[in-house]
Parts: sequence; C-alpha cells; structure tokens
Amino acid sequence: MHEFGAPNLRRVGQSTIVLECDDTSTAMQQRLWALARVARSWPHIGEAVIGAGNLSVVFDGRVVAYEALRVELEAAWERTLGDAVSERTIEIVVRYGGDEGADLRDVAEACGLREDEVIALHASATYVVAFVGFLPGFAYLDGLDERLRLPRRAAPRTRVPAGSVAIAGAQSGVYPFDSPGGWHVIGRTAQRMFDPDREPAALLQPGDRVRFVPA
Amino acid sequence: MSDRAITLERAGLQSLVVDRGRFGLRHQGVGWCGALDLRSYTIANELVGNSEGAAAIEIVLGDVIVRFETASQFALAGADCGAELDGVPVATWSPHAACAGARLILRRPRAWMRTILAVDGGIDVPLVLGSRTTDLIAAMGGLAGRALRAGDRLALGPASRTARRAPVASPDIDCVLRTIAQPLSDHLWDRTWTVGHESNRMGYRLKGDAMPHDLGMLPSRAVFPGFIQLPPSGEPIVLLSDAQTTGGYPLAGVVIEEDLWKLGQAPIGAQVRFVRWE
Repeated sequence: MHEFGAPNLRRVGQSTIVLECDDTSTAMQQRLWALARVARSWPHIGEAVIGAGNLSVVFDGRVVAYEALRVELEAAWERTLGDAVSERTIEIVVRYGGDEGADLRDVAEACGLREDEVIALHASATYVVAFVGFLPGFAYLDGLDERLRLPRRAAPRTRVPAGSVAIAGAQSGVYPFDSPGGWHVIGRTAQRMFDPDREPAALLQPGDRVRFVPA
Repeated sequence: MSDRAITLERAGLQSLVVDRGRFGLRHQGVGWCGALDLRSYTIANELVGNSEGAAAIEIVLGDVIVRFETASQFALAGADCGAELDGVPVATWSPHAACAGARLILRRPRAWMRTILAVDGGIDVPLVLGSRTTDLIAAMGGLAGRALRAGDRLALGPASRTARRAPVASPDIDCVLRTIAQPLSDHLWDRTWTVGHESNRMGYRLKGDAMPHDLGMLPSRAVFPGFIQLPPSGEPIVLLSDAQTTGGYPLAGVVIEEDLWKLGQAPIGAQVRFVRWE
C-alpha cells in the first residue's frame, strides 16, 4: 500500500490552486488522474492540469471563493482512491538513430553503452503516461530504464521535428509537432500523436501503457 | 448560409483569426491561443455588435489591405494604423460601415503593435475543439491553422442585430504590469526590463539587470498566460496566449489578466516594469 503524504494546497495568481506532493510515483499520478477527472466535472472549474506530482486547477472567481474551493478539493482528495493504469498498450513504431535520431550516438556515449544497447533498453520497457502537457498531445512517459537517464541537453534545440522520440531525466516522450525542445532525440515515428478530428484528440492519455517498437 | 465575406489583398507581417481562446483542454496540452490584446478584441467586437467570442483578425504592425465583398460594419481597435476606407480616413475605436467592394488600407502604426479588425457577424471559420482561434503550433483553428496570406477569402457569419457600442477613447498604455508576488519576485521589482528579440505569442523574454539563480528545473507543473518563468539566467519570461501548458522553471510572479494586453501591444525594445499587486 502506497503511503501518501498530506498534499500542500496554495493559491497561485488570481484564479489557480496548486495541489502538490513531494511524490511523483505512479501511485501518486493515479490519484491525481482521478482527482483531475472529478474536478473537471465541477461547473466552476475551467482547467484541471496534472504535472509531475501536482495538479493545478483554474477556477472562476466570480462563482466560487478560493477558500471554499480549497476545502472542496481537499475533501475530494481524501475520497479519491486513484484511477487504474489502463489495460491497453499502445505500440509506437520508431526508426532509431541516423538523421531522425540525431542524439543517439551522444546518448550512447554519455551512458557508456553501444547504440544498439540504447535502442534495446528503450524498446524493451513498458511506459505509463504520467500526464499530458507542454504541446498538444505530448505525453510524459514514466518508466525509462535507469541506465538511460540523462539531464536535458545543455542547449535546447530551436526546432525538434514532429514525431521525434526523445528522452530526458526519467522520462521518454514523442514531440507531436515541430517545436523547440531540450530532450535527447533518439528516433522518429510516423504515428500521428494529436488529431483534433479524433476523440480524444491526443493519442496517449494518462494511464495508458506505451511500448516503442523498432521499425 | 451566408455569402458575406472579406478578402485579404495584403496580409501583413502576421495576421491571424483569433477569438478569446480554446479553453478547457490544457490537460491535453492544448494552449489557449486567444487574442494577445483581449481588451482590444473585446471592444472591437462590441463596437460592431458581435456576440461575445466572435472571431476577429489580429494584425501585427499594420500593412494590410482588406476588401469587403459585401456591405459590412467593421471596427478597428488597438494600434492606430492610419486606416483609410476608399481613401477616407477611418478612426480606430469606432464602428464604420463599408459598401460592397470597399477597400480598407492599414499602414504601419507609429505606436503599439497589434490591431484587431472585427467585422459584424464575425469571421466564420470552423470551430476546432470549441474555438475558432489559430493555434500555430498544432496548425489548427483559424484558416487552415496558419497565418493569413494575400488572396485569402474569409466568410463572415450572419450580420448581427444586436446594439452596437458607442466609440470609445483610446486607452492609455503605461507598460506597468501589476503582478502577484511569489517567493522569487524580488528578482522583478525596482528595475526596468526590455522586451527582447526572442519574444513571440508564446511568451515575452525580458532583458535587464537579471540575477542568475541555481534552482535549475522543478518538477513539471501547469503554467498559464501571465505566469512569469525564471530560467537560470534570471531573465524573466512572461507567458502569453500561445504558452505551452506545462513548464519546469521556477515561478517569479503572475501578471494579472487585466494587464496582459499591454504586452500584446509592447514592441521589441519596449521598457516594462512590474509592480506588486495584492
């Protein structure tokens, strides 16, 4: 049984409450997925966004006072057990290395591994979507092998191509669109990560399991 | 179905279809992407009697020519581009009538950055995830998810029947940003910051007498327009409409919603200050 510490709630800015714990375990994320889902069903809530061990809720200050919402959120936290990790596993086909994985060589060198060992470790893990953020459909994937954990690049790139499969810290992710980025790019997928005509638009949702399959 | 429309004969530096924003999907990574100067957007729509949330065009530094395909009411708010309708000067912050075929010319403004053009009935592009605003990163909303180009024809909604608002006086702009303090806010006060070159719709990067810090990155958390992020250089980044939905830099303060429009009107090189707001 996971031991949860008491969360810290505070107001940030005019209309945001942040609930945070010093805990980014999957058990914590599961509880946050459920709490965010509940909060999103409240009429006075505009956004409920999960991060790593935290939840930010944007409220309509004309309808609900901060103190009342804080009490409501604390009560919801107490009754929330947590959502299960999904039974479904989504497979993402990746072309590793070469021009499409420009950092593979540097990652291998920094980790003291060969390139094929990096690919094998990245493709053998099962990841869990901890939360979605940054860009439309960008899923932060927990479960990166400890041997592949590196800090972000010292100098972020101004443009990382859409479909880039990347790693940083204890996480992996796929850039859904061309964007600036500081993660190490090791491959690319043709999978469309975000499509506004799809429901839900983001391919990966919190709690989904993900595997990377070498092309 | 309405056949009302306008055509852009010149599209300027960056003209976008905007509305208030695409809300409620930040947990899917979807940014708000609404008008950068929401104040001008709201006034322009009110001047032509549009319903709240009607789509308008946000123009950066003028240099735009619009042809009205059908008779329309329109209003300009924000930067004064010395506009002329078929050679006759038209005031900003005031409603006007255009005949079918009339041409509206916007020149480069002497001050301010952005002009909102609202036309009665609103710009009728499809709703994408609940909004008509353009998301340039996800290439969705607006017209095909991109900035407008010369030759683009934009359909208008049915002419509105609601009462129009009377002309308003041009608001003063002071570039003083009322800011809710955070533990790191001491970096902000009592100095003047300059809008840097790398500023865009995602955020304004400010240059000045910065104090570097070694707090590094924090666990990712939600960020919103108005949040002031503090990278290790100590030079603050004020997040705006197109901001990413999560970030890991320490938070140096939050600019109140009512003052964010000022940044939308502040050109690169402008001086801004933060003042504590309780």
